[in-house]
Amino acid sequence: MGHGFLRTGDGTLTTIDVPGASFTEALAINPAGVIVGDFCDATTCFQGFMRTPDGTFTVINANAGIPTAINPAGAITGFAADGSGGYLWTPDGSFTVFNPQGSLYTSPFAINTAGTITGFYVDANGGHGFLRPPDGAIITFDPPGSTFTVSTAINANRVIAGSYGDASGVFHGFLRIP
Amino acid sequence: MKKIKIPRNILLSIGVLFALAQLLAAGTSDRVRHFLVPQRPATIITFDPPGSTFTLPSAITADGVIIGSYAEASGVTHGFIRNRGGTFTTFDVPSSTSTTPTSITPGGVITGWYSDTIGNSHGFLRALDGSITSFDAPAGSNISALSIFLVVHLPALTQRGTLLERTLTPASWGTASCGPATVP
Repeated sequence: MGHGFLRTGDGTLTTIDVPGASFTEALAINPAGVIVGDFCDATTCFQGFMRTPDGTFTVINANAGIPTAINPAGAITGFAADGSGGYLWTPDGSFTVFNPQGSLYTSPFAINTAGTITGFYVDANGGHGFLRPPDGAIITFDPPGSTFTVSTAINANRVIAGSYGDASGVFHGFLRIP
Repeated sequence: MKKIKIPRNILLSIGVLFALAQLLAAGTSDRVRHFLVPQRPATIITFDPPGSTFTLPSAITADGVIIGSYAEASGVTHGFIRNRGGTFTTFDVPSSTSTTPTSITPGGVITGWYSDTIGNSHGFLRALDGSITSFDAPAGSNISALSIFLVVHLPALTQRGTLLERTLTPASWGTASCGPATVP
């Protein structure tokens, strides 16, 4: 059985199990101590949950699959449970599924303080990086020579870090400065 | 009849607005947008720690410090810090066979996981002075990350030094009907 855990600065460990779950994994935490992850119950896996510092668990949204990141404001991104794309959930309860144009698979990886999301998507030509600002106007990009791009991190200045594969299959790091 | 004089600069402004309106009507809004507010193209810088054959950044701080892992030709994985100026600091947890940093605080404290010589996984904290503290979740568990997706996102570390990791026993993982999504 899989469990999540929280380790505080003094080394104290707290086990995290969604009530009634047969499997729980904690995947991200924000500065306020809100944790997101996913769990399986008797019938369904990949359900996204949110755990507030008081220990209360909430299902993020019926279509929120695995969450990948939460920002300081509590906005969450991840994979839609029905496979329809990436999602953005905001604390006001809004839930938006998004895809870069032509995407067959969208994988959000990180969200910054302002709510800009980065990740990668796969289309008929391979994998590409994307940047989704709060206005929803998605920008896609690839480092020169890339055959597959994976954006993994973004900071408050929208600087993105990631990895890309070249024609010989070697993966390099990249930094995208807006 | 009184003649109305329209200053030349206003006439020019009207002309420019009219031209822009025509461009918009013709469906060239991108060009118009660029004309009005010049867009600076993004800059992409590529990098690799020395000896890397596979570089995977996992986090970036507000001031541009990047951490991640890289593999050398032998397949051994190490941690790296790419400093703002582009210089690298590489590190390994002592006695590890692979080191995978996953998160960094604004103050430069790094967390991640590593494998020991018998294949068990553990968590670690790396302080700013380079000292490393190893830790494990409750007895009998194994800290692990099974895909790029999880390698990047586990664990997360907050500004308050709170650390989050996933624990699972390899045996239960092997029989579990659920697991992380496969990254194509």
